[in-house]
Amino acid sequence: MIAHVAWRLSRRAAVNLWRAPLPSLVSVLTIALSLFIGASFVLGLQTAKQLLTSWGAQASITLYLDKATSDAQAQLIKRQAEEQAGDAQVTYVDRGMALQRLRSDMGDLSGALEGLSQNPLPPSLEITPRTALQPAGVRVLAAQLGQLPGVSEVEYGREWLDKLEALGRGMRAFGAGALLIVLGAALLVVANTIRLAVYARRDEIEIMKLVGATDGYVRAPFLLEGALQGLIGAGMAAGAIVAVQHWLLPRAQSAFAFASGMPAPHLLLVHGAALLGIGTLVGLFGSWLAVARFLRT
Amino acid sequence: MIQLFHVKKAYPGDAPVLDDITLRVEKGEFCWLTGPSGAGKSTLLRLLFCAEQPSSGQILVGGRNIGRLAQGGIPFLRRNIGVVFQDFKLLDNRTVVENVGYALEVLGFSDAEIRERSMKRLEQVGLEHKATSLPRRLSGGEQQRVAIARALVNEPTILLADEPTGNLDPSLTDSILQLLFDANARGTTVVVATHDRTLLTRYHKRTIGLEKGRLVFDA
Repeated sequence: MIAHVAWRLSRRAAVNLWRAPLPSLVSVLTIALSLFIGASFVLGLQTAKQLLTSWGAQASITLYLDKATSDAQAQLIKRQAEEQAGDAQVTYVDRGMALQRLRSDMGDLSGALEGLSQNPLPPSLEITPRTALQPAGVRVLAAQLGQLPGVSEVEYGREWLDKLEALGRGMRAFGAGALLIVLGAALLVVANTIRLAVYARRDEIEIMKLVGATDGYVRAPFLLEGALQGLIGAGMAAGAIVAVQHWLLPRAQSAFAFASGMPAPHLLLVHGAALLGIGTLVGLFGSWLAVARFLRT
Repeated sequence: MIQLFHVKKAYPGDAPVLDDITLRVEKGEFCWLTGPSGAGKSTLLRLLFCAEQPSSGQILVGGRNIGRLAQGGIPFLRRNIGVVFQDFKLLDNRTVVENVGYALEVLGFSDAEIRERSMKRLEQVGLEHKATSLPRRLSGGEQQRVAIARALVNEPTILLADEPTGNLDPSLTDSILQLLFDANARGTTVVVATHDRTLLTRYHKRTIGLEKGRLVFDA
């Protein structure tokens, strides 16, 4: 008997979709558009986050050593720094090289250095992370390296990192808030669209209840329809995103030169599955909200 | 089969639609429920199939106090009550046989059983040849016969009919009423609401009279 009922409810859901294609199409397109906007937003945020991380990784750490540090001592500190920094390039800049760089940087003004009786610059170690580090990671590494013996000062673009971190925090808060609003709006729009479709079939609900259908029996085909509409809508949204990634983004890359080298946002299999799941849930919940009103009356 | 004790139904700000109704309908009985428009006939029927709740008083249907029935129990009560309306309430996008079989779908019968039982009911109302037609292709009298077939298909113990001939040509009235008498002859308790006094004089059955929500006679 349960198999009969399950089969019948599924068949009815499919037949209802087929018999009223226009309201179903409106629901499917609404879900597809809402999910496309929401998913594009999430992918855009992810890309921006990757961009921020890559900018953070470009920041190198400079360890200024005591002026009295000999080359042999500096090499020892360099080895210790390499151990602590892990996968990072550590370059030793002795006092002579530092002065030479300064001269070169000053260009025509380098003559001002001629009057110096002795080299005022300390030797230093320049540490450049090879892999992308979060700003917080750079900060922690700098603090650890600052503890090494012979290090008098650590420089790592603190202000720049602070700004990056603040920007990251802001984006996360804005992203979460905006995503909630987009999903909430999508749910309301979908619920209202499905409600219109349910309203068109209020006579059917009334008769179902009249002949002794339980609320669950009345609700089931509408929920199945909603879930199916959500699934199809999510599939369309995923298809649209893939199409944009393959056709539109490569053509628009020149317009975003500042992000050159950045991977384009990709809809991975897990994202696609999540999108389909969210679409199904939105359709299901939208139907639930829509039918609940008619079951109460 | 049906018992009402001091039943009152009132909506906020209005005079009571039903006031202090006490009556009893025995198992297998046929009775008319009559009175002018606005007397409370339809409301009384709606109380019996739990479309509304009384403001006060008690109603027993088949020995069950419907005031104490949980929300989840109402569908199961309705499976024992067939209801026929003046406006038929058929689904336009379903065929005649699908409309009749609707009540059996809810009960979980197989497709073959539903078709067999529905066709049997359609034969009883003389419409087996219209099984695959859509309701809008039928006359008013035929649509009401389909509605009666649907109400009786799961062999309910009670049949409630609200002005079942109200929308029909007088020449069709007898054939529709005959279907209700036939159901009663098979043991179904039948309550028919009507404001047509000619029916009461033509068919002498127990008659319950309502006026302005009060029981004015029971004979």
